[in-house]
Formats: sequence, C-alpha cells, structure tokens
Amino acid sequence: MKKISKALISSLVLLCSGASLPLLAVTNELQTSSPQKIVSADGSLTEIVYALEQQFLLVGVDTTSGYPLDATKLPQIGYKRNISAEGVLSLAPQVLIATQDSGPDKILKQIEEAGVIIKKYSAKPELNVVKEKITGVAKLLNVEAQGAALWAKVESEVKQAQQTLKDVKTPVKVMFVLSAKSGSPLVSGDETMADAIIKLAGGINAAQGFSSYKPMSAESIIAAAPDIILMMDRGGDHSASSDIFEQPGFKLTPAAQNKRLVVMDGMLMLGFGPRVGLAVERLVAAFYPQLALANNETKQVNE
Amino acid sequence: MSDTSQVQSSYRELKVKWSFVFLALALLLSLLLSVGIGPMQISLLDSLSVIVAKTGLIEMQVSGVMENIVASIRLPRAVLAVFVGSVLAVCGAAMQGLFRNPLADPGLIGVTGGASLAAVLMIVLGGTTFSFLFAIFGAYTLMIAAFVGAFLTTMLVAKVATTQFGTSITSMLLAGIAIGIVTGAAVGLLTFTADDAQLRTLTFWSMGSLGGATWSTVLAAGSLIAIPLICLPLHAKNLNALLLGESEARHLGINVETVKRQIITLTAIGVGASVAVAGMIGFVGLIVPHIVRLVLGPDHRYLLTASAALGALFLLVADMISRTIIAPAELPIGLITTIIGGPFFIAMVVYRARSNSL
Repeated sequence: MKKISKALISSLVLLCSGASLPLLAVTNELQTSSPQKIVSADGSLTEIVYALEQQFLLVGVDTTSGYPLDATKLPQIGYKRNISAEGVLSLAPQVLIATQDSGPDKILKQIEEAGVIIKKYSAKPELNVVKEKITGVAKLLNVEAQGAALWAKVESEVKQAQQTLKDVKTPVKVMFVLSAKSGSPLVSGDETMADAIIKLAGGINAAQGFSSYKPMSAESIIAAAPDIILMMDRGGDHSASSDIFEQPGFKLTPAAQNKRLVVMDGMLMLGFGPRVGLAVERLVAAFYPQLALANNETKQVNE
Repeated sequence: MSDTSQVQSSYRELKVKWSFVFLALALLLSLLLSVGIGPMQISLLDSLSVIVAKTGLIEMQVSGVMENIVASIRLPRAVLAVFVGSVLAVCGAAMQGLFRNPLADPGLIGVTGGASLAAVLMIVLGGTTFSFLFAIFGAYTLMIAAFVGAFLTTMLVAKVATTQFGTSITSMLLAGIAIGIVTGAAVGLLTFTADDAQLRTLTFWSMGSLGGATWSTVLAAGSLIAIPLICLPLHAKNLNALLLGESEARHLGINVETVKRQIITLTAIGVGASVAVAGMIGFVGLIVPHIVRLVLGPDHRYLLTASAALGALFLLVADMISRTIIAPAELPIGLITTIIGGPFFIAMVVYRARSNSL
C-alpha cells in the first residue's frame, strides 16, 4: 500500500514538473519578445487589450470581461476573485494580467510558480490608474505607441466631457443604488468605483458617512435628499430599477419628484477602462441636461 | 399542605399578572420610542403629534416631510417589528414544546432553509430564468417566493416524516436537518454563480432587515402572521399535555396527530411570512421562550402569550439599534439579535447546567 502511494506521489511530482518545464522555457524567452498567449482576469484589462487591437493574443478571460461582446466567447477562467489555477494553466498562457483585487492570492502564487508571469495593476478607481493600466498593458504587448495614443484619446474624452462642468454652480447630489430588492437598499458610500465616477462627472455622492456598499435605511435616504438615483443596467432585469421610486424612502426624495433615474451598463460605468471617457460624458449629460442644451445653443449661434 | 400549594399558586398568578403588565407597558413605551427615534432629527413630541393628527383626535398642523417619515416609514416598520418578533418567538416556543427539546427552532422543520433557497433563487436568477415572475408580482416577487418556498419545504419535511402510524417527531427532526442540508447546498450552488451585486444582496438578505416595511407589506405579512399569533396560544393545553409525552397526551384524550399537524402548519405560515418580509432574523425564536420560561415556568398558557410580547419588544429594540447605531448606514438586524442573543444563551446554558435543570 505504501509503495503504491509513494509511486503515485512521485509520478504526480514528475507530471507537475513536466507540465511546468515548457512553460518555464517560454518564460525565459519572454524577456526578449512579446507574449503570444495572455489571460485576462479583469474586465477593464480585457477592454484595453481589445482597444489596442491585440485581442488575438487573448486565450482566456474572467466573468467580468463582458465587453466587447466577442470577449465573452473566449474560454472562461471564472470570477476574477475566485479563479482556479488549473483552469488558467490549461490555457497555457505566458502572462496573466490581473488587478489587485483579482485572486485568491494563494492561487495566483500557484500560477506564478507554474511559470506564468503575473502582471498586477491597481484596482483603484482613479484616472491615473486607467493610464497605468493602458500604458502597462501596451508595454507588455510591445505596442507602446498605440498605448500612448489610446491614453491620449481617453484623457481628451474625459477632459472634453468635463469642460462643460465649469458652468455648473450647484452640483447635483447623486445616489448610486446597487440593489433594492429586499430589505433596506444597498447604497454606495465612499471609496467605491461608483463614488469615483460620480465625482468625475461633476456630481456629489449623496450617501456620506460610510464606505463601500451598505444597506441604508429609508429614512437616511430621505435625509440624504439625492437629486438623481443612479443604477446599473442588469441586462433585461427591470425588476431592480423600474419601481425604485415606489419604494419607501426613495418616494420622498427630490429624485423621485423630478423622476430622475439614470441607468447605465455596469461595466461601462464602473469599469475604469478605456471607456471611462464615454462613461463620464454620458453621466455629465444625464446629470446636467441643461448644459447640453446651452452648449448646443452657443454652437448654433457660432454657426 | 394544600395551604402552601395555594399560596404558591397565588404567588405564581401574581407574578404572571405583573409580568404581563410590565411587558405591555414596555411594549407601548418602545413602540413610542421607535416612532420617535431615527436618523432624521424629529423630536418625540413632533412624532407623537403626527400620530395624533393622523388619527384625527385633534386638529393639528404638521409638516409634510415629518408626517411622511413618521406615518409611512417609521410606523409601518415598528408595526412590522412587532409582528415579526412576536410570531418568531411564539413559533419558537411552540416548536420547543412540540419537539420537547429546548434547542428546537423553526429552522429545524425546514422553514428557513426553504425560504432562503427561494429567495436566493429570485435574487440570482430573477433577471433571467424567473423574470416572468417579476413581471407579474413586481416588487413583491421575492417575498411571495420566500413564503411559498418556506411553506412547501415544511410540508415536504412533514410528508417525509409521516407514515401510516402518524408523524414521528424524531423522523421530522432528521428530515428537517437533511432537507436543510440539501437546500443549503442549492443555495451554495447559486451563490457560486452569482455576480457581485447579487452576492451583496443575498449576504445582506441572510442577515435580515425590516427596511422593506410599507403599509402594504405590513398588511400582507401581518394578515398571515396573525393566524399563528391567534391560533398557537389556543394549543397551550395540548402543548402542556405533550410535555408529558405523546402516549400520555393521547391518554388525556388529545388527538396528537391533528395537534402536531396544526402546530407545524401554523409555524410554517408564521415563520414563512416573517422570513419572507424581513429575511433571516436569528435567535429570537430560540432565546425569547427561554427567558420567559426562566421567569414564569414552562406552562404554555402563559409561555406562548408572554413569548409573543417579549419577542415583539426584543425586535423593536433591536430594530431601533439597527437603524440608528451606524446611521446613515444600517446594521442588519439579524446581527444585532445574534450579538445580544448569543452571549445571553451561553450564560443561560451555564446557569442551567450548574443548577442541573437543563
């Protein structure tokens, strides 16, 4: 019995080392040339690879990679915070691109030990980080010029969208509601992607005094008095947003009185990828419709 | 000899009487308090004036926002707390009597397992597979599903445990545990496929909240909850007899099978409705009857009613804490009941083990 198990273990060890050997060899090669196969464990990074037109290098993505639609047809490695080592290794990538919140760390370590290079980028919702991610991925894929061009485009889009904001005298108070299905609604506080994008689009987060996503009582929602309710579009799931103003609490907010509900695709709004400019532009237009009108008028006058 | 027993029984009756007076006063006080306290700064006097104005006793001018907050947010929430707290406690007491086990809990017969499976199904697959349900029932879909899930699972547990010789309590216990494991596995499977927003929703659902309270949910859940609240205390004498043992109860002329079936159905209705409307709120059904037993003894004639009152009081206070302690955010009420209930329960177990009465 003992002998058999020993033999088993040694053959397993052999197998494992055998599997990782070719990968190790590839790793050494990588120092000189760009990788041929990459796996992305973050939706915004996948978007960047596509924006750089290097998608033919992708051999696998995680479940947060929903844009562009083509990305969803690639082999799946699972949810970004719960990826499996063997799933990634079976795709035999040279590089795994991930963000700080991808994981679990133990699994990432196993993948690294098997010879896959792991490139981790910050997961903070900041424009700097978008730049870091774009230039980082471009450098990795040896397309630095395209990377610089992409960042310049994103940056100018954001700047252009924010241009109109200088005329705003009283910023709107926006409340991001993650879910309002049962009990007290889940609302986004400080230090969230939603908080960051609201600020970028010239709004104020109406939910102050707590961080992350927390249940907020109906009464506190009234006290916060949001001008606009912001929600994610859940692809056909209208249950979440359609009757939000019927709920206690929301019913008595300025947002409900003026029927101001903004619904946007989750990955577009909170992804902090190459589409962040578009997200800011759309949110600014939704937050301040009067600005767009004023702009059009001045344009017409100029013409 | 008969003198001392008479003295004892009159002492007992006095104790019962005063306990009920105390409970009624405390309940009234905390109802008023919970209408007066909240994240919005409204004085107790103002809140009371809203209620007085609403009932039309005195013509009074109150501000619109204040009226709305008190009348359509605080008041339904407080009333829901009373309903849910009392029914959880009364069902807990009935379960403990039926199973003749101090650790029995409505969760044992599959109510909570079935409700949570149905609720998680709606949270995770509500946008895709079950979107037609949302089209029909709108915002009430989750509640309706949870109630139906709770009821069906309990009936399944009862069915498994019933043979031609009647419903065996032991089989019921085992079937309940087994079905609880199966529903737990299904919930795990759904959790695995859930996305970020769904994960957060179902995590917080499993900690309970009275935040969804509106007059229409209070009316819907309340009318269901009222059934066990009224009917379970009517079984007090049957439960007392069952404490002696099933065959003894049968000899006393009680139709044990009918009593069992009725108590189980009533519990499924009551706990199912409360889980549907407020999520999982643990420990109320376990700890409240124990406290009452400690003070008033095991006689179900007082135990059931007093448990209902104390359960309502407990949940009202817990909800006040839930709403205010980390405002504007809300601490899930299930956490508060377990934080208070856990240590208390341990203390009680230690006390009873020492005095050899467990």
